[in-house]
Amino acid sequence: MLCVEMCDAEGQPVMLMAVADGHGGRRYRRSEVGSRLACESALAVAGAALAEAPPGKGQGGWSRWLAQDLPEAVQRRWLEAVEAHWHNNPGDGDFEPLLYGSTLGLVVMTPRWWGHTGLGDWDLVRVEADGRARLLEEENEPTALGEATCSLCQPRAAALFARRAGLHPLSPEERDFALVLCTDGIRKSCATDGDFLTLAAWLARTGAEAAGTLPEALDRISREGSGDDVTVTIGRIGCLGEELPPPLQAQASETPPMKPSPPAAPPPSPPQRRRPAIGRAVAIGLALAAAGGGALGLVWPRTQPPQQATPTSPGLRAALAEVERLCSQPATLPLELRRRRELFVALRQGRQDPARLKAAAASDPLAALIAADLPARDLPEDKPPADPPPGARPRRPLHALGACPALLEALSRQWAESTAATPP
Amino acid sequence: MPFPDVKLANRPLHFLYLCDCSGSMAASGKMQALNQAIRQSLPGMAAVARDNPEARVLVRAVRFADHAAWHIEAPTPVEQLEWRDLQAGGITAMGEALKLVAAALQTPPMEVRALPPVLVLISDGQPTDDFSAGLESLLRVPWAQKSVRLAIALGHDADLEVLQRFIGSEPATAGRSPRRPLQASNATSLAQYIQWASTAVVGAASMPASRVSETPLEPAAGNIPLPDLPPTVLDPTDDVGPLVW
Repeated sequence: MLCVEMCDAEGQPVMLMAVADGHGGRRYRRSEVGSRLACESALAVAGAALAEAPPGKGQGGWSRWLAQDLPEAVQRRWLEAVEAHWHNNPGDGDFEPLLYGSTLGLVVMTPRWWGHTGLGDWDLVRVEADGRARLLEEENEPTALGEATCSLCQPRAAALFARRAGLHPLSPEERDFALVLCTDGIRKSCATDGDFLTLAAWLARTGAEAAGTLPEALDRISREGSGDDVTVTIGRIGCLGEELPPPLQAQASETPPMKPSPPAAPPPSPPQRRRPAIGRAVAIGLALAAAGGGALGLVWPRTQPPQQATPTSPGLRAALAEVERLCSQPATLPLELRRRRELFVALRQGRQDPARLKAAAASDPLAALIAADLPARDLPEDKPPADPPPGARPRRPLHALGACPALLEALSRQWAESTAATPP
Repeated sequence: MPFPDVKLANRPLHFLYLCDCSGSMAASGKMQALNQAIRQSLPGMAAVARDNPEARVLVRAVRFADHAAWHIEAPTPVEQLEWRDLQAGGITAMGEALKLVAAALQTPPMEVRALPPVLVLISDGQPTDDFSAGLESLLRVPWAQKSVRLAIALGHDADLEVLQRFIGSEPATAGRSPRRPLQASNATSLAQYIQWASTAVVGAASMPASRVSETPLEPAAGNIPLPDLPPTVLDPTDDVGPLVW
C-alpha cells in the first residue's frame, strides 16, 4: 500500500503517500521486502501521529515532526519490522538491516499544509493546474556518488531525513496542484529533465480516472528507458484532474511548436478560489526491464530576448543560443544550475578564472554565462567592474544577452547558495 | 490522454581505455598483445551491450607516449567500433592522459543521467610526467569520482603504486581482498583481463544496483560491485602463456 486516506484528530481529511526503492544486488537480497516494509512503517507511524496529534500543534511543530520525530519513529518501526521478518524467515548468516536496505519518500497532505520527508534518491514534482511542473526535491547528498544513495539501513538514517524534509503551508488562494512522488527509475528513464517534468505533468493530469492505463505507461517508461524499477504516487490538492485544462503545448503560442500541435483541448475552467481540498491519489509500483527510444516535443512559454545584432564570434553565438535554450525551459533552470554548483563555488573562491571560462564559451556556453554573471564584488581585483552611471540601476552582463527573468533569478539563487557553501 | 511526446532513452555507459604506448611496449610483443586483446574482446563486449539494452555502451581510447592523444575520440557504440592498432614509441605521459580524460568527463559533454563510466588504465612502466597533477585533475571531476577504475600492469616493470593510486584504495570486505591492479605477465593473462573488463565489468556497470552511500561508519564498497575475476586469472600459477614479460 503506497497511499492512505484518513482523518486527523480534528476530523480533517489527510492523505499520505510513500514510495520506497530497495537496493539491488546480493548485499541487499531482501530489499524488496525492505522497501515494502518501509512504506508500511512510514504510513503507519505517520498516520498514527496525525490521528492522535493534539489540536493547536503549529506549523513549527509539524516541521520538527517531519524532520526529527517522524524519522526516528519510522526508522525504529522499520528496524523492528525487518528483524521480525528475518526471525520468521531466517536465512543464511546473521540478521543485519543491510539485507533489507531501502530508500523512502513520504508526502503528507492536509487541508492546511503539506510536507515531505525521507531519504534516498526519490524525486518530488509539483504540477500546477495549467500543466507547469517543477522539481521540488531530489537527492543532493554529497556522499551519494555513482549509484549510491542514502538508506534506512544506515545506522544514523533518521538524521538524514532532515535534509529532505519540508513543510509548505496552504492558503485558500493557492491554486489547485498535484504532487508526483516517484522513485529514481522514472527520472533516469527520461533523456532530459525537461522530458521528466513533462512526463510528471502528464502522470498528474492523467490521474485516477486513467489508472487502468498507468501500469501500461509505467511499463513503457521502464522498457524504453533505464530498465529500472519505477514507482509513482500522485496526490492532488483541489480539483486538478477533475477538469483538465488544455496541454501546455497548445498554450505556448509565442514560439512555434517543434511538432504539430495536438488536437484542440477543451477550454480551461476559470480558476476556482476555495479552501484547498485533498484530492485523490493514485499509487502504482512496477518492476520491469527492456529498451527503446522516443521523440521530444515540448515548448514552454518564454520571454523573448531583445533584438540582437547577428553575432559573429562562435563564443557569442553559443552563449546566445544557450540563453535561448535555458529561457525556453524555465522549469529545468534550477536543476541545470544546481549541477554546476561546484563552478559557482570555485568562481566565488577565485579557483576558476572567469575570463578563461568566458573565452571558452564556444565549448561550454553555460560555464561562460555563469562566469559572466559572477557578482561584481567577487571579480578579480585586476578586473573591477565599470561603475554604473549615477542613478542607474546596475545591469547584469547577461541582460545584454537577452537573459529572461527566470534565468537571472535562478542564477541569483545559486550564487546565494554558493555563498552559504563557501567557508569564510 | 495519450502518452506524452517525451524522449525516453537508455543510459549511456562510457568505457575508456587509457593505453600506454611508450617505447617499452614494443618489447616482447606487448603492444601487439594489447591490440589483439582489445580487438578480440569487442564481440564479447558487443554481446554484453546487446544483453543489457538499458545501457548504451560507448567506447573511447586515449594513447599516451611522449604526449597523450585521443586514439578514439568520439564516444563510439561498441557494435560500430573497429580497433585500429596502437603504435609504440616514446616516453610515458600518463599524467597528461589523465588530464585529457578529466576534460572529457566534464558535464557537459557528459550526460547527467549517464551510468558511472569505466576507465581502464593499461601500462608497463612508470609515468615520466607529473602523474600526481594528472590524477588530481581527474579526481576533481565528479564523473571520475563516480567511475569504475581498473588498472592492468603489463610485466614486472609497471609501477604498481601509481596504478594503485589510479584505482584508489578499497578496503577488504568479507570474502574479498582489497582491490589491486591486475598484473598480466603474458599475452594470455592480458587477454583474459581485457575480456573480463569489457564483458563482466561492463555487464555489472550496465545495470548497477543502487546501494548504500558512504558514511563514517560504513566506507564505500566501490562505485559498482565488481564481478569476480575468472578463476584462471585469480591464480597466476595457472597461467600458461607462451612468453613471460
